[in-house]
Amino acid sequence: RVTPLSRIQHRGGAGGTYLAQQRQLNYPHFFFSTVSHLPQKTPGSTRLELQLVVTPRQFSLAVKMTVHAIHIFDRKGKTLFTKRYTTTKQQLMQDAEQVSEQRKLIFGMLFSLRELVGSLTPEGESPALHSVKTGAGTLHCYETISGLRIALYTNNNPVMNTLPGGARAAGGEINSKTSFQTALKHIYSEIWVECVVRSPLYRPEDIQVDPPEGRVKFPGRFDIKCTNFELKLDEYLKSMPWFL
Amino acid sequence: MVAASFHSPPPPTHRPPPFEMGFLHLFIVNKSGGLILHRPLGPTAPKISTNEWLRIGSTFHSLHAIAAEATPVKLPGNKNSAGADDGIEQIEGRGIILKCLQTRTGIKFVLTAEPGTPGIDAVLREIYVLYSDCALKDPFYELEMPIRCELFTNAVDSLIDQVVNGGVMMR
Repeated sequence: RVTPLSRIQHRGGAGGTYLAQQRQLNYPHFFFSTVSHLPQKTPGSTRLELQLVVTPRQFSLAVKMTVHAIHIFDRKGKTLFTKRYTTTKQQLMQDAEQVSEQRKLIFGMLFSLRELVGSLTPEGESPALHSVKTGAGTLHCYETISGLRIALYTNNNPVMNTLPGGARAAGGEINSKTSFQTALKHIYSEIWVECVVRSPLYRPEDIQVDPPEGRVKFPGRFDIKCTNFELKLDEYLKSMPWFL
Repeated sequence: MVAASFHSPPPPTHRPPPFEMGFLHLFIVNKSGGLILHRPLGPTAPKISTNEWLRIGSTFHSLHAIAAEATPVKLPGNKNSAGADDGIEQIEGRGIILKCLQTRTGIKFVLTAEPGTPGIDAVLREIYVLYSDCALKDPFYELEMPIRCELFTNAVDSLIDQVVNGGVMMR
């Protein structure tokens, strides 16, 4: 039984060998193997020795990630912007009611997860939620101080970050994670703030969210569609090496 | 003329790991959402009261399932590659990484650690093995009840000890 990220083979017998290869493509130059060649002291315990092998990065994979959807929520939970990049059959069958329910679910989940992570984080770090990974996909999250949350759904294909040279050892790991944080931060500061907040029509209390079928336009409400936010967002996401 | 003397490279020594490495907590949630074990694994783990642990356990149990519901693309049958229900596998925050292993029977093993700790997945699987060796084979242990097996907790402690202190050699 092979799982995508880790494979543990137990070659049996007393003092058997555990071979745990963690081939996360985020840092392919880490190789862990556990060897128990020393006599076991107590029953039920294995002597573990982890070998850390650092090999030079000789190859780069061009495995593409897929961005599924992006949602932007304000601090009260209202959806300010949402866009689907991949649609499946089951989604086409969902009506507007279910879609907005799902979005509320996402917001509630982000809120509760942040509380959870906050209580588990050690002292000295201000808690923040960066990403949540499930078997089906990963949710990357960026929250501003004003409470605006940007949530980006991608699939789980690990991405070879295209940073030159010095991304080695622990650095490579951290860079691939923060590349999503920097991307989301860029979406906020360069695209959202520039296109939406600085628009002369912007009214923060009165944002028109995506209307359901039968567009009812309330006069006087600020509609995100009247800015070129979506255009710029699509441009930016498509320019990322990891976009579809 | 400078006589350069080349010594053979020194034997590998146990140097402290260059990155922050620390396991924080282990907690195990049964299939109804109740907490059956919580254990601090290192000195940097924050102190959490028992009531709050129970709350964390049940909150995580629900969020685990909700995360699978909320994704735009779902796995077929909602089962992941191991045959267990899909759900949260990993959460990353600033200063913490949380990994969860859900078994087919619905038990969730959750391990939190500082970022940069290597081998969290392997340790998590090893803890599952220890659970099945020490807790499940204990004739007095009732399923889904809080784990009170000293053998299990001792084995977990010594596993973490080996991983953190004794086992890392840099080449």
